[in-house]
Order: sequence, then C-alpha cells, then structure tokens
Amino acid sequence: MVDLKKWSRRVLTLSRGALVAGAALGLAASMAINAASAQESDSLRPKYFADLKGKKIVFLPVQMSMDFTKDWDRSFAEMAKQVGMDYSVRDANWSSQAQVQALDALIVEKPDVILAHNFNVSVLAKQLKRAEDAGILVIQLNLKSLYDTTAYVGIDNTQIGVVGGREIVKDCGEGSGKNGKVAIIIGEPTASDGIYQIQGLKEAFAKDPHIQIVATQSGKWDPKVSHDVTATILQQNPDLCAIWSLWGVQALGSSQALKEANLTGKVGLYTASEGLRYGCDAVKSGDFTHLVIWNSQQIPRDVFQIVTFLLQNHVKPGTMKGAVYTPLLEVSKDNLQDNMCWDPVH
Amino acid sequence: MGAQDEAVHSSRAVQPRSDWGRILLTQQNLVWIVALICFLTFSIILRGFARLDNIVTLVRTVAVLGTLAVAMSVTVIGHGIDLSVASVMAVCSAWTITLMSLGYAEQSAIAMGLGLAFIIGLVNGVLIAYVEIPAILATLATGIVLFGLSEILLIRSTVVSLPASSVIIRYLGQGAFLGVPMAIVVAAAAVIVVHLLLAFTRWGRLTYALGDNREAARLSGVDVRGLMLAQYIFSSLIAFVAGLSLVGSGPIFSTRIADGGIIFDVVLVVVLGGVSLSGGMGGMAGVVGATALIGVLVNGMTILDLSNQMQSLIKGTVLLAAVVIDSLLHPRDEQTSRQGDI
Repeated sequence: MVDLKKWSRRVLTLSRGALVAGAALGLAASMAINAASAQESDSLRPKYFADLKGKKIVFLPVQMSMDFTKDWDRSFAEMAKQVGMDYSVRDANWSSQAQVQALDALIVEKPDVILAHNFNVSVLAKQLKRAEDAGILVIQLNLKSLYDTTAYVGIDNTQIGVVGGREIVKDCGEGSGKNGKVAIIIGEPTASDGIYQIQGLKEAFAKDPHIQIVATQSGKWDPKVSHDVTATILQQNPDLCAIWSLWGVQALGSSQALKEANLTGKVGLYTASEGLRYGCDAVKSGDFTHLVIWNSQQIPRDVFQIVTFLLQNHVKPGTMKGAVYTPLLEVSKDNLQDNMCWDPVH
Repeated sequence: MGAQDEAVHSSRAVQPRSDWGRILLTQQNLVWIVALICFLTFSIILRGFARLDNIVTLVRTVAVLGTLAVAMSVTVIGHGIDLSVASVMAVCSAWTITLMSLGYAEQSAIAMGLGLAFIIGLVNGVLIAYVEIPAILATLATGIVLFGLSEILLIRSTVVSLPASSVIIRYLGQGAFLGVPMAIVVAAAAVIVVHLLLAFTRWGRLTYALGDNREAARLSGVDVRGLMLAQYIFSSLIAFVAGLSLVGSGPIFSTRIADGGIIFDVVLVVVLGGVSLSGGMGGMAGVVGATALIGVLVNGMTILDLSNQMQSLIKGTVLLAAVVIDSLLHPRDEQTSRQGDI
C-alpha cells in the first residue's frame, strides 16, 4: 500500500527544495548579470572624457617645416580629436622673436596646455614661468629651457652625448691605435641640445685621457654651414679620428666635406637623428659610422599620456616636475635593419 | 643720345673728379690691404693656413656669399638695394630640385626655377621703379613673401635632397673645371660678367649715372624706370645661379640659410667693398676684396676654434667700421641726400 501521505510530503519537500534551488539559481544568475553590467560601465571613462573634452592645447614649435615636427603635428591633432580637445599650432618658423610673441599672446589667451619646443635655453624661460603662474600646464618638448616646467618630454641629450662619446672612445681611444683627435659640431650655439650633448661627450671622454677635442664649432642645424666648418677643420686636422655632429641633417653636410677630402671611412662620423630614412641610408652607405636614434615618433604618445593624466587629476601647474626621456636606439652597419628608420609622409 | 652721354660723363664713378677718385681708390685698396694683413697674420700664426688646399676651401666657403654680393651690388650701384637675393637664391633653387623629385626633367625644372627668379626680379623692379616704394622695403617684403610661399606652396619643407638623377646642378656644385671647383668658377664668372657689363656697356654706365643722380639721369633722357627694372631682374637671376651651385654642392640642402642672417653678410661685403649705399660708386674689385676678407676671417676664426658668439662679434665690428668709414668718405649733403634714401 502506498503511503500517500508520505509521498505527498516527499513531493512537497522536493518541490520546496527545487523552489529554493531555483530561487538560489535565479539569484545567482541575477547577481552574475549585475556583476557583468557593473563591469560594462567603466567608472574612469566618463571622468576621462569630461576632464579632456573642450580643453585647449597649443603646440609652439621652433618650426613646422621639418618632417619630424610635421609628424608630431599630425599625431597631436589626431589624438586631440579622439578625446575632443581643441588643438592648434603657433609656428615660430625659425624665429626666436616670433616664438616669444606667440607665447606672450598665449599667456593672455590662456589655453589649458602649451607644448613648448624651446628655440634656446633662455629665450622663453621667464615666460614659461609666467604661463605656469597663470594656470597653464606647460610641457616642454625635446629642446629644454633653463626653467623647468611641469614636464619635459623628449630627447635625453646628455645621454646621447654619453652613448656617442662611448662609441668614439671605443674607436679612437687608448688602445685603438688612433690618435684620439675629435671635432665636435653642435647646432645653434645657445640651444639646449648642443649644450647637453657636449656635457655627455665630455663625461664619456673623461674616462680616456687619450681623447683630445681639437675643435668645437657650430653647424647651426644647417648642412651648408656644417660642410664649410668641417672642410676647414679637416684642412687643419687631416688626421682627425672622429667627428661628432649634433644632428643627422647637418651631419650630411659634414659627410659631403669628408667625401670631397677623400676621408670617408677614414674619419669616423658619429651623429644622432630623429629616425628618418636618410639616417639609415647614410649608415648603409658608410657615410655615418654610428647613429643614435631618438625615435621622434614616440614623443607625441608620451606627451599625450602626461597631458591626459595631469588634466584628469586637475594638477596645478608647477606643483609637479618630471621628465620622460625617449628611449635611444644605436645603429651601426653591424645591426642595421630597415625598420629602424621611418619614412616621412608627404 | 648726346644727353645720355653727358649723364654718363657726369657720373663720378666713370669720370671721377680727382678727389673722389682718390677716395674711391682708397676704400677699395683699404679692404684689400686689410684682407692681405689678415691673410699674412693667419699664415704666420696658423699652421697650414696658407696651404693651397686650405685656400681653395676658404674661397669655396665664401663663393656663394660673393656671388650674392655681386648680385646685390648691381642694385646698390643704381642707388637701390636687393634684400630678396637670399630668398631667391635658396627658394628658387630648392624649388628646382623639388620639381625634379616630382618627375620633371632637369632642364625644364631649371627653366621653371629661372622663371620664378625672373618673376621675383620683375616684381621688385615694378614695385621700386613704378610704384616707387623704397627699395629696402619692397625687396625685404618680396623676400619674406617668397620664403613664406616656399613653405606653403612650393617646397613644403626646409630640407630638400638633391635627386640622384641630377647632372647639371650636381656639376655646378661638385664638379671642377680645369681643376677649379665649379662653385668657385660660378662665382668668378658672375664677377667677370658683371664687371664687363658695368665697365664697358652703356647699360652699366647708365647704372652708375642713375645711382649717382637719378634726376639728372632722367632729365638727360635715360629710361630710368626701365633701367631699374632690368637691374632687379638681373640681380635675381644671378642669385638663382648662385643657388643652383649651392644646392648642387651636397646631398641635402636647407632653405633656412636664407633666414639665417646670410643677407647681413651680403650687405657687409657690399659696403665693405666700397659699393656705397648712396649709389653710383664702387665696383667688382672691392666686392671681391671684401669677400676675400670675410673668407679669411671666417676660415681663420674657425681654425682658431673661436666660439660662434666671438665670431659674430668680430664680424659685426668689421661691419660697423665699414659703415662708419663709408659715411666718412661719402658724407651726405644737400646734393647727395634724396627723398627715400636708405
């Protein structure tokens, strides 16, 4: 005989259990869904766009006619567009006076961020301080001022000097069998790049008393001036071991002077560049002995990381100070690869 | 005709009154004497300075400067000035090789560059001779406009590379004629051509007459405006040839040279060479002497490893001295000062 009561009780218990289990399952499921929806909305995102949208950012370059500054401009414009920032350029077009005037006007106009590419170490120093006092974030690019603003992004020129100098010591120093005579050709005499590179070079040369600097001249960032200076130095020192040239474009002028004196390969040419194709070509042809690349294409991303971080945290200009140096790549015939250099977009 | 000849004969440069002749000689000689003294001093104190190789390097360094000075002196003798020569030199020649990299044949690219230089000279001439804008302002402006145009329209970069396909331009910059580098040959040719034109043709003599006294020249029947037009076109064309030789000299060329103060060096050479800013005076001998002096100074100072600031200081002092001597030797009075004087 079937115990109906017992059965019904069991069914009831079972169904109650099922109900509880179902409810639990449902709860778990709904919790899972809730959890998923919480993950879907990124809590940082609204603030990110709210803090960046409509912010004014101005690029103040020494010139806008070189491939690497044009490349920077394209990248800045693209990145600003993606976050809704208002981006513009004030081209100094190789005139320090024009740069001073542009910055003066900007201090009145009061954008949120200025990206300053300093013509030389002193010309903008006072104004950069005034700009930060006025509440404008100032990021310095590649060419430094004596006055440190919130951030510097770009080349570590001292390190370039150290790396290039180390290579020259290796090829011309004690035990190399060479006489150790070195000529240094910097760019604009008052710009930060040459001043810091010479410090780095001297740091490297200090390790080897055999190295002897026979000339320190200015190539003014110009191949023709560099050519003439190099030709004159070579007349005086045909037994030179190495030439350090500040920048690849002007080093090409020096390489022409070496060619004319039939000294290509006999006098080493050491230089640094932004990584444009001509540099790798010159290493390949033997015109450059050693090239230190500071990849200019990496700089806009570093700049934007800093700018977006500072703006999201409403950092008061001048309260933080720091540098982001671009990694260096050493190129010589031994390790040359095509992808080490980049092609300009026209 | 007779009146024109009279204008020619009244010019102090061609038929100098005895005192003017002596002063002119003194100034031209002065620059040669100073150049020679510097040369001898450096030869004694600097090892290898007087070697032939170094002298060739020295002359090459100032060849373009000298050619531009030749171009500018044509206009200064005619009592004007052409400050656009540096821009014309850099931009027209850089445009020529840009056209070549865009696929134009070398000859047609050169023709187009020459055409652009001609147009700039024409615009200068029209502004100065017909619109009567002072030469210093008109040519300063056209130079700036041309430089701006180059970045917006023509070249779009300050650095241009010499295409591998270039033969003529490369020869002008890197070739040699009878063992002499073409850069020097081009400069020498410019000096000789301009000297012959100024000294032996009616055009040249009228240029002196115009520079000496424009009103007298006009009253004598000289086509003053046409003559000025021709001077500015001519100066532009010489500047273009100097530019071709310059872009041909290396694998890469920066138009920034036009922006880097070379024009002040050109004025320095012109004034130092005895081509007075008050017009109608001077000639190629002085310009060559002044170019040599600058070459010796720059070369010697580089060998001495003087800093850039020191070099500028010395060059600036020489310019100042030249301007002072110029105004002492050629004082202004009611007769020589004119409206629109520079």
